[in-house]
Amino acid sequence: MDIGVYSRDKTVGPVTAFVILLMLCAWGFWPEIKITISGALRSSEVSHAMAVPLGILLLIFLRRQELKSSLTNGSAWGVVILVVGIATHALAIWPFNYGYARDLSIILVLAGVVLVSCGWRVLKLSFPMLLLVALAVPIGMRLYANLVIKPETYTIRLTAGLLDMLPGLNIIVRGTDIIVRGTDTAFQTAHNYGVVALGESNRGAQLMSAFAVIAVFVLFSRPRRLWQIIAGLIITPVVMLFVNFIRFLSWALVSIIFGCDPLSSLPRLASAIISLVIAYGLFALLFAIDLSFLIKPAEQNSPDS
Amino acid sequence: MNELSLVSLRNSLASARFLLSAVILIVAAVALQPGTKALAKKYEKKPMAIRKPLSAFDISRLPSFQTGWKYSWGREQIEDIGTAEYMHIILNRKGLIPEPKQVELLVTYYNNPRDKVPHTPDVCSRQEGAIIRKLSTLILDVPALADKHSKIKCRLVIMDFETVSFADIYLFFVEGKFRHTREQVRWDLGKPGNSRTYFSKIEAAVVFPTGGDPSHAIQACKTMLAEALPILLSEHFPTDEQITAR
Repeated sequence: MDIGVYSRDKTVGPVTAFVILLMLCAWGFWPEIKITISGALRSSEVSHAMAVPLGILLLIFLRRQELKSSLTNGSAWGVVILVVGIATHALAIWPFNYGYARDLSIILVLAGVVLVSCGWRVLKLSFPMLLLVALAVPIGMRLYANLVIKPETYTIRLTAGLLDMLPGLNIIVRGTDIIVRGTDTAFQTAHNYGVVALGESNRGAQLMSAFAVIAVFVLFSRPRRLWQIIAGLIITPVVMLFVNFIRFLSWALVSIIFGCDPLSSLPRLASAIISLVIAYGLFALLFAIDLSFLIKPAEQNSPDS
Repeated sequence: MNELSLVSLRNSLASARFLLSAVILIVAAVALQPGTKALAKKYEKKPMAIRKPLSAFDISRLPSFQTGWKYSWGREQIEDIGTAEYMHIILNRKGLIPEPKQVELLVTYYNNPRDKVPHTPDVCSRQEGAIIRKLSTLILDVPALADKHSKIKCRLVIMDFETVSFADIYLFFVEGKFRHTREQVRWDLGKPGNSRTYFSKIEAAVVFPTGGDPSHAIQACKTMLAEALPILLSEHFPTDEQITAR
């Protein structure tokens, strides 16, 4: 049961309890944390996980007043969530062998820790931080490959269709590769023949989680109403698909304009930077439009979240 | 540290919920990994051997493919498919009869509890240059199995390569049940109950002209599976009694 909002001095207890439980949680989940860190260092697909702690700290800093004023002495229901999280973790090791579910169970355990030590209101405010942790957990290769079949197929088709409209290019799609045959005009490649090959696993959908991390960070970096959050979460996948298309298109254009070899790192880096910047700009713009045009009259009242 | 802070600390750190949570987390950190490992070892399912090797499959018992077809056995890399127990039948039309010209049946059998559920064509064919035109679930009608397995769900994949297109229908048979996704297979393999385990991937593929109408090819895949599945279940795969026997 929550027992009232605490003054500044009274925040010491809940925060200390939270830190102790968090350390115990890190000890128990160390194998999973280690896998996430080593994966982030090794693969560009999950390297956004390295930015997640920073994003969480920034969100905590930006929402510090709300968090502080919402601190209570915790709730016993946190123990229940904690047990459910640990049970899920155990079941995903045996009898079932689901690596992703096992790794995701840390979210439930963290939610339990927050609830036990800081209460329901802080748990509610921690939703974006927990969402960021969830996005840092690497999705299994096969599961991810299954999820992205349709998005990447349509993205490749759309990109090829657009490139085919440019003068001087004949485009053929072969699997996940776009075969470019330059003819005589604008985009002559160094070889006058090239392959836009996304030399990476899950071709054409590799930075989806990174785009989602940016969306969550931008959406929750300031207080918003519940319906704004729901609307933001609904439009996020659409923007992610669009930015992914921009990534693919910029990859293709850089490959063609600079005549890059199929395994060249230049198009990969350029398209990653372009798409991440556009993702940030688009999310910031969309969520800002949302605020300035739709919410301003209601801002007279205090925000819910 | 002032008195209010000390009171706050005491209230939080001496509370039953905090102490209980700390104990749960410590127990989980110490005992969860070794405990689940021990349970996994103790209750690990035993491999269930196939009744009759797939290489002994009698092709002449497929009624629709008895005449007008020339057959051969395809060879697969064991490292690629993950098992030595497999059959790959390639049937080619004799003469100038229209579509379909080639029908393939690939069946793989796994019984090591640590075997991974293999790739499916929708995922792995793209690396070989395929463009997925269609991906859906369909119901396969197998009259010979209707009493035990009515409405068998399968996955249909239509793939376009540069020079040829494929219709591919696949499904799994796991410890006596038909399944159509890898996740379902993984769930069944993990589910306690049976003391022995096996699973099989059954896949029929038919070639048709690039970008053409796949309806004939889909029908040929369905026919192949509808005729092959009863033989596989009645002669090759273990019986339900064998799986549940302690």
